[in-house]
Amino acid sequence: MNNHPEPAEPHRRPEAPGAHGRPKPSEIHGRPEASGIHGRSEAPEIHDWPELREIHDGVPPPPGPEIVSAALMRSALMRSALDEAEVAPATPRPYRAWALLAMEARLLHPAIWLASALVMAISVGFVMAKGGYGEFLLTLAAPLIAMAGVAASYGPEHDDAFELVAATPTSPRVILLARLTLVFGYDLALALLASAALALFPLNSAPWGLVPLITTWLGPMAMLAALSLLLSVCWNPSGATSVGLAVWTLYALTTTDLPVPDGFRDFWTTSPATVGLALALTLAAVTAVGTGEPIRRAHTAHRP
Amino acid sequence: MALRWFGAARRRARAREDDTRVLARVADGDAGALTELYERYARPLFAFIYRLAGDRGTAEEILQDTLLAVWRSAGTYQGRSSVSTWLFGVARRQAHNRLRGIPPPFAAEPPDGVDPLPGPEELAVGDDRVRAALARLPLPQREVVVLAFLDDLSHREIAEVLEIPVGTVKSRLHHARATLRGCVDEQPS
Repeated sequence: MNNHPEPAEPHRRPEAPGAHGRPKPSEIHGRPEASGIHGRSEAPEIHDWPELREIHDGVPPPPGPEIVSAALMRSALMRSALDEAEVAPATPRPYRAWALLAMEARLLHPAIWLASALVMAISVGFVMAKGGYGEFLLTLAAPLIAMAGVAASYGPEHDDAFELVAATPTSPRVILLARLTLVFGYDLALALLASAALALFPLNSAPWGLVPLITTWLGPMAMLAALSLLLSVCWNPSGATSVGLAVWTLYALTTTDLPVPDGFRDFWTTSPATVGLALALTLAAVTAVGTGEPIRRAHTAHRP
Repeated sequence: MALRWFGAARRRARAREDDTRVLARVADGDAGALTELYERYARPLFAFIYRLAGDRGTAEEILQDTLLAVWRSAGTYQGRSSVSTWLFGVARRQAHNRLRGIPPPFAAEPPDGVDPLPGPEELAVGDDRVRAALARLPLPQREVVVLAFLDDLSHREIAEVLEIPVGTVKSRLHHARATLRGCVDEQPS
């Protein structure tokens, strides 16, 4: 298949670039010591490609630094256009919101949907088969899938299109909210369906009331998802998932007979306080993601 | 000989650190750093984009898209590859975004006969020959060929830029050469 065996050591091109007035690749890169971007070459021999012998010829010089100013101006105009769009939207808001949700749903990794549905289906299947663990399992599964899904829904680490999306005029806050709506809404719907299934078809277990079942997981689910969202935005998705898992383990301990401080147990219930705290964390995440321009991480990973 | 090699390697490592530092400043919102980064890579980036697009106007638009994307997403650079590889990856994605569905601008057959020593007055003819040859290649093959011959990247570096295995780089080169020589019809790889 490969007709271009790679030489054991860097070679010289048979026809030295730079002849006939054309610049050498190293000159093009502005690195006199390098024969390429990284100073080595294992590329196929140019003499095997007579059609491309003049590939360095005729390339016009790049535009001057004014193109940088033009790009920066465009960035500022995009932001300004966003502000104007908020005042006078060109298309009806519901339609734009629906279009944005549909596009973002295509960008989210399919594993988010599949893994959530799988975990929930296994939990419900287990409860229906064995009985007696409905409340316990839903209390554990619903926050877990929401936490993992929300953490993985935003950020360059899991988003191949992040950089393209960043170059569009859509605000990062709007994108974050759209993805949060999709992922948390999906997980919420799954948990509600699971609760309804267990309430309506108890099979091998004693019947549960639908509302009491929902209140066992709703508050913890909102809290854990909001916490992982904030950590994912301010730190990174992997860190958010790790911290979320640690907190979730502590939360799981509250459902056992192990001694846990009363305050901690009360913290993971469905109450106005927990729902309010979850909303506050979500608001903080949405505020943080749009801070500054261009999009900045609090801690970039590439500082020397 | 060995000393010279080590000296060159040290200079290259220093240049990479410089690039990383400049990109970090871009991530902090330093517009001057973006200009500095552009001045370092303007020629290879523009040459790469120009050879992909086939005309100067489109190439300048893609270059501006690339700078905008770098400005807005510099903070996402993870340091897994060199800054130059990352920049080529950004440029390539922006080129795909803009060139998707647009036919090659210059698809004439290449002129017969290759003059081994073209004079300065024939450089324009040589450029037409290159453009015609590149226009015959599908975009995935064209970008591999341009990165290999114009930007002098190794197979591994090309694989990093395009996010494909090294074996795919080699097979695309193979198909590109077959296409240019008229051995096979254009085929996606």
